[in-house]
Amino acid sequence: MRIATKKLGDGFAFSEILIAILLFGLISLYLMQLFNFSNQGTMLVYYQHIAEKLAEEPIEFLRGTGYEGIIACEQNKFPEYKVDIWHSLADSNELTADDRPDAVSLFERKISLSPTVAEDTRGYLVRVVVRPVSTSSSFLQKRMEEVTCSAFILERP
Amino acid sequence: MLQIKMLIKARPESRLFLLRMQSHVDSISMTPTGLRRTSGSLMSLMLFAAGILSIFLLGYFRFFQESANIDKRLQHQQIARQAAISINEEALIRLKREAFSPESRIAALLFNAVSGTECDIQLPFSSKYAGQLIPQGYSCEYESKVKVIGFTRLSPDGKPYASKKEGHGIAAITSTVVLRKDREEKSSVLASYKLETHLDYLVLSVFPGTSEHPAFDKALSVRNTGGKPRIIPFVTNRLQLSFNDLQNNSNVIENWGDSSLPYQEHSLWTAKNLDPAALNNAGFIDHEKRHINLRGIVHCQEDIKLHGNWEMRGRGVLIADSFEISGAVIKAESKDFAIFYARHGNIVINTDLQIHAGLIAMNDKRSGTVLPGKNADIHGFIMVDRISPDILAEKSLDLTQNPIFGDKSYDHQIIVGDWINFISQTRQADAHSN
Repeated sequence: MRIATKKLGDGFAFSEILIAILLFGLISLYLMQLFNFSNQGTMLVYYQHIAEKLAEEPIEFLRGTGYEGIIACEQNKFPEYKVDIWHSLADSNELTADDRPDAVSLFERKISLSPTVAEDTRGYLVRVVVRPVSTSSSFLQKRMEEVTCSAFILERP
Repeated sequence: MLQIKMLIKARPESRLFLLRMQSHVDSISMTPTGLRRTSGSLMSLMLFAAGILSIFLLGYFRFFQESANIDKRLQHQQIARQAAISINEEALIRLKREAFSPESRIAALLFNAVSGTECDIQLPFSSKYAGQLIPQGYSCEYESKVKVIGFTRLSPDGKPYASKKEGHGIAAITSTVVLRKDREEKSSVLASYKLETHLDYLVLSVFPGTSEHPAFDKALSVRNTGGKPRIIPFVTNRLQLSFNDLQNNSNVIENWGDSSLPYQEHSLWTAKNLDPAALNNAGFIDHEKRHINLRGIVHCQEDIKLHGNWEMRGRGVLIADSFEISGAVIKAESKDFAIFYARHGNIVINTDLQIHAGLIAMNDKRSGTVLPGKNADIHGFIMVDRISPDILAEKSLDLTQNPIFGDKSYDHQIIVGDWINFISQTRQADAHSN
């Protein structure tokens, strides 16, 4: 007895190949969607990161200037950090001469200052809100929420 | 088959392999054209593909779930971080303030300086406003502690400090914030953030006499009543400081002997061995503006004559061989004070105008005294080796207690540095629920 080797033409049936193509097509479709979704997720995290940094920026600046700097900011002496109004953001910070990424044009920011006192300590509650501008992409409008950053900055002895 | 049987006979251990071989051979059929599968090929392929697809779908679902949460996690960490920085800032301020207050627990901790000891920092501002740092529906727990990391009694150049209580060390402030999401009957930890900052601090003998930390327990009162001076001595253990600690210190300006004399602690000194011209140039005695500007101890190696009226600013001691005061010396602010210390001679007062200063006339010969040429009006205290009853019988010497010398004294000060020399940040997300 002799076991013969597989001949050409004795492979899969045509229906099997069609089903296989269909299944692999479906898998490929999901893979493509996965890559697309991964890309969107990465971009969302990127925008989220930028929004957080934009929210932290005025707080870090005011923390550096101290209590007196906040009083000056409250009097709108820093055009870069307008108080109580939504304002767009330029590609560079004129006050600190720092460049910002291009994506900052997709956001707008609002800074609120509230003077607060507790016992012998005076300070300001600083609240910064960053949100996508209305002209940004629908993806950003739908997927991204407002980013709020709050801190208090105190008068130092 | 004959060969197989022979193989089994020769090697019984190969029976199992052959039985497996046999069963495999049974599942295939022999045809003239060769080997061909008869069943299960399509089903196997579909099952295999379905399995792959399920794995992909599961991964896709998990990826979707994680991606949806990652921006929330970032946000939680950012909230916890900002809260920790804000709370830590108040802790720094509170540390500085309480270190300056001798009655506080923190001052006691830093002053005793046992490495590893720690205590909580009360944060009234945070307790009132920390809730505004976090969004609604969330809550946070926080605490700040100060801990002594290390302390040494040797100055950075390896020499001992002037006083045994002096030294320098490192104070660590640890602020921890735990952000929680409030749910029914339980809350879950979303993020926690721990911030540790280290600051240098010094324990130094400082010049006493601020309104918060004056030096003198009671002013000396010498009053010519009924022709005889009545002396009420005052007690101070702050003015009379031991001189022994500085015997080997290069900062000692001269050999003052081993007698107990004031102001030998070198950390109190500002300038030494100046002449009157240098005093003027350095601005300590500004003849143009008629100001005496003191901060710490200033030593002049000659006599000082103060003619005309002067305004006294700051807090400090002016040491000279002798003094002659011929005009008013008025302090600019209530917290200011001056002490004039005649090291070798006397203090002569040739004015009846007010002199806002403490007067010390002490020397190694025990001959120092205050001599009023007119009816003197001193707002401060007097400390002398001897008094001259015959002179005081003719000229009155009115001494009014200066309140700044009257409070309980505090001769050491804890100074916390402004600069953070180390910072450590530790964060955790989605730690646990309880």
